[in-house]
Amino acid sequence: MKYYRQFIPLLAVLLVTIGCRKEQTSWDTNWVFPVVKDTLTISQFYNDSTLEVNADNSIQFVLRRDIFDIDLFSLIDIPDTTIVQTFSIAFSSLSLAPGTEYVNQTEEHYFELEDAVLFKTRTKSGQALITVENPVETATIFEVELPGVTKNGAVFTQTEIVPAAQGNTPGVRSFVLDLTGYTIDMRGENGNSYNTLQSKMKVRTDPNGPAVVITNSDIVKFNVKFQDLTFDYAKGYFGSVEITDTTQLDLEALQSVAGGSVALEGIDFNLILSNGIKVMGQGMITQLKSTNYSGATITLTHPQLNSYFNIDPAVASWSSITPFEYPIAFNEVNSNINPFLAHMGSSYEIGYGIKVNPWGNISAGADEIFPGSRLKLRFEADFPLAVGADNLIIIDTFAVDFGEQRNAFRVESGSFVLKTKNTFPLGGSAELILLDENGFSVGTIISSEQIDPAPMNMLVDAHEEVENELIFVVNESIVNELPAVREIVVKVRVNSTTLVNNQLYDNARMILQLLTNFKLKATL
Amino acid sequence: MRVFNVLNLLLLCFSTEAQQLLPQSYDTLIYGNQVHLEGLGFYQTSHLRNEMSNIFLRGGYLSDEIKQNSRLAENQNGRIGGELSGEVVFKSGNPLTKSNENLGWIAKMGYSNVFGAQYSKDAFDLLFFGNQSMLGEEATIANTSAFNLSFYKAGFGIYNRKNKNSIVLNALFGGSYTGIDIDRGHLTFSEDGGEVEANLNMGIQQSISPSYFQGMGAAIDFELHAAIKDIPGISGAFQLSGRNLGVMYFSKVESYGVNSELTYSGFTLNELSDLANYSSSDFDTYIDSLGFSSSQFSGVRWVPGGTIQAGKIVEEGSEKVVQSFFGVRVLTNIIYRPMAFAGAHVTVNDWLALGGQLTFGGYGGFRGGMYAQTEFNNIQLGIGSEDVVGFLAQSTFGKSLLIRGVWRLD
Repeated sequence: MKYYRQFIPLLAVLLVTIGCRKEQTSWDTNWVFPVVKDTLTISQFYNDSTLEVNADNSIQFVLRRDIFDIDLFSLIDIPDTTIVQTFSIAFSSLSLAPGTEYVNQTEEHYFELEDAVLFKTRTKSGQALITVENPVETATIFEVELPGVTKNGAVFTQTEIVPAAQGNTPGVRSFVLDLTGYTIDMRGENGNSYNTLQSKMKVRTDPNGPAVVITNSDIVKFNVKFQDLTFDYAKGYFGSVEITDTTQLDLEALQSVAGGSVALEGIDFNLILSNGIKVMGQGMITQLKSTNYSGATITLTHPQLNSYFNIDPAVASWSSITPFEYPIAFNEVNSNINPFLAHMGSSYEIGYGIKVNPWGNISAGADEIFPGSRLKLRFEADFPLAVGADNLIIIDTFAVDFGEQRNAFRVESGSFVLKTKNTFPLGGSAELILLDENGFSVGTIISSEQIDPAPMNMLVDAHEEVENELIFVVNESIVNELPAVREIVVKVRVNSTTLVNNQLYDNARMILQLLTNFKLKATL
Repeated sequence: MRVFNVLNLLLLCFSTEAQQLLPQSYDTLIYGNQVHLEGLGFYQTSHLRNEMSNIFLRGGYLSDEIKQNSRLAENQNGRIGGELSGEVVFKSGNPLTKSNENLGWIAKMGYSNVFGAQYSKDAFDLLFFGNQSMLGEEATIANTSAFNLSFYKAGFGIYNRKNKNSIVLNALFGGSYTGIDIDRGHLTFSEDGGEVEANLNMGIQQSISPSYFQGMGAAIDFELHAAIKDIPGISGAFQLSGRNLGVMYFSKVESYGVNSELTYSGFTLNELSDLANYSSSDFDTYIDSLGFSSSQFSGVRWVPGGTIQAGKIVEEGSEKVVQSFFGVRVLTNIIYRPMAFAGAHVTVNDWLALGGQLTFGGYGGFRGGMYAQTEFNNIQLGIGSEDVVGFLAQSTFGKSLLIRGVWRLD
């Protein structure tokens, strides 16, 4: 037993050594991760027909954008209409041999269209739902013909077999007539009416069935429902209609502007109302209001605003449409167009009024609308893009997710690095705003470095690219907030060297690359 | 599970080492029943200084200065390896057969955890310094490999009670196995860290069997001795010994591999953590997104910590006060370099012997060791280190502790 005691000191030492609680091992590492990369290039606007390149590679601001585009076929709205037509013989009874036609009746169906008068239309879509009740105890053959309803010269006809009545229960047959693509003469059977659709119903007994007896109490019943009729051509008088509305136009490219102002040169700006319909009318622009980044508004002024001007009919046929256009030109003399555009609004509100046939049916029913006929208001701008920026604030927002801080690698400190490649003649400072999932700022970081404006090249046909690296130091409080950050807003405040003659060229672009240069604490 | 953990602790606490450097002695006396407790704990590195590995062992913060001190020069490869093991050996004092009274039997059980790694300079830099200094450059992580294996052993064998030659056949019960091999590895980081072009031929293997013993195997331990004669100036005995020489069969191994040129879109912070956290549930998803294929297989692996040692050992009961010992040791893995050793054993008196040795090779370079051995009554105790300076200086490259106890029961 005494031998065991000799091991006790050794055992104690070993147990203490092994049993010591071990704290974690950690060290710092420096890792560079990309966060986002975005390029704001002038060529991105080409597809928008906003910018064009001149022969000297300079950029011409050429914007043609529709403010509204009205489909006046909505004025010719034929409501769903149901017509019930019945037939009975004039005698007390009549024996019908197989194959005997005993109904041959033409009806006119009139559509209530308020004060519109339609002589001719072409259906773009729509159908007639027909239900036929047969009172005789043999099958009948029902033939429907729509006189004046033609497609490629052929009159619309359709034949259906209606089952025999069973005792007092009539045989019933329902079917659908598709009217798509049919031209409809709406002048009626005599050609001197309007808004009228003719239908001819013929009924005969089954030639292979038995002879039957029909009495004057047997009633043949037609139920016709015209449903969802729309048109892509109409001729007549479209009624006297007045439309007033306000529409909004958003320019996405300017939504990234968050402050400052610009100076533009040589502005040529026009509002043009274009009438592609053969109808007389009047138009009026009631207001054109611009709202910028700060919510401030400015209203465009011009002597022709807020008063009606006449709109002549378009010169139009099936083969061609030449719209009538009414331009309103804005320049520095007749309007406040310069401050209006320098306001850098990203949202525009346009009020307008349109009167169709304000003087009644003076065309004697010659109003005509074709498939391509539109009533549009568009604005056109055409001027060289020479932008003088004065504390112009441009923002770009990137979605990010740094994830939870984990034990293996935790961010200790570091910096965001904004690498820029700039070929705009504009430079400035930048800051990063970190937003949480609710869009609230959890921190703002400012860099002491600047983005330099690009200098002109030797050939004077482009600006030379300038690279900058802006460091945004991440302090401890920002590190603690990183897991909550969901968006980073890059806010760039730019100025031009001068407010004039800052011509932009084809190569103008700003590449923004945001990196992290984090010191990570690794822990095992 | 708890039983095995307690067993581990007991083995590591009480055990001492026999077949490592503490001078192997040759003793032709015949003893009765004996219990040997043998323990070994060491790690050795080629470049990783103790100031850094101490922090890994005890915890703490690795400063840039500490990391710089252990950094490799260009085109260098670093190595690290070690073992923590213990054995209880019972040697029967009774003859196994009446016909051969010199033949006795041995029973042993033990636990061992062996690990090793070799790495390139860039692999070290990437792990401890990050990618910032490698942007726009190519990092080479080829010739990087690592292994870790733990296992229990239980063996039975025979020995010659007089010349002490022995052979023991052990059953091995694998705890866990992890292996990483990067044969070809080039990573080119873009200037912004946004892209990594990788030219890789690498594999990761890990045993994943749900059972506690994830593998089964067999290994032999042996000792062969021969008296040295007819060599002027040298007396004593020659010993050839082997330990844990065998193979292990793993029933379920998960293997991830890639052998192609790939372009990755950089790393995110979370992905870096996923890579670092092998057990993360996101690891499989992420490793798959990196183009790695995964498979499961069963197969046989060499036990990487197997040891073969040959050399002259000292003779117990020798009249010489000072005896020399020397030899060479190899381990059965590609990271370990053959290690040569030589030393002197001094018999101070009847109950105390001291010694010292120099070694070169293994997982590192030169080391100097010392030991002390005492014997009283039926107890023999020894404690020593193959790397004495490693306990004292932060600038050295490893630590070593060897303990041995022999209790002669009758």
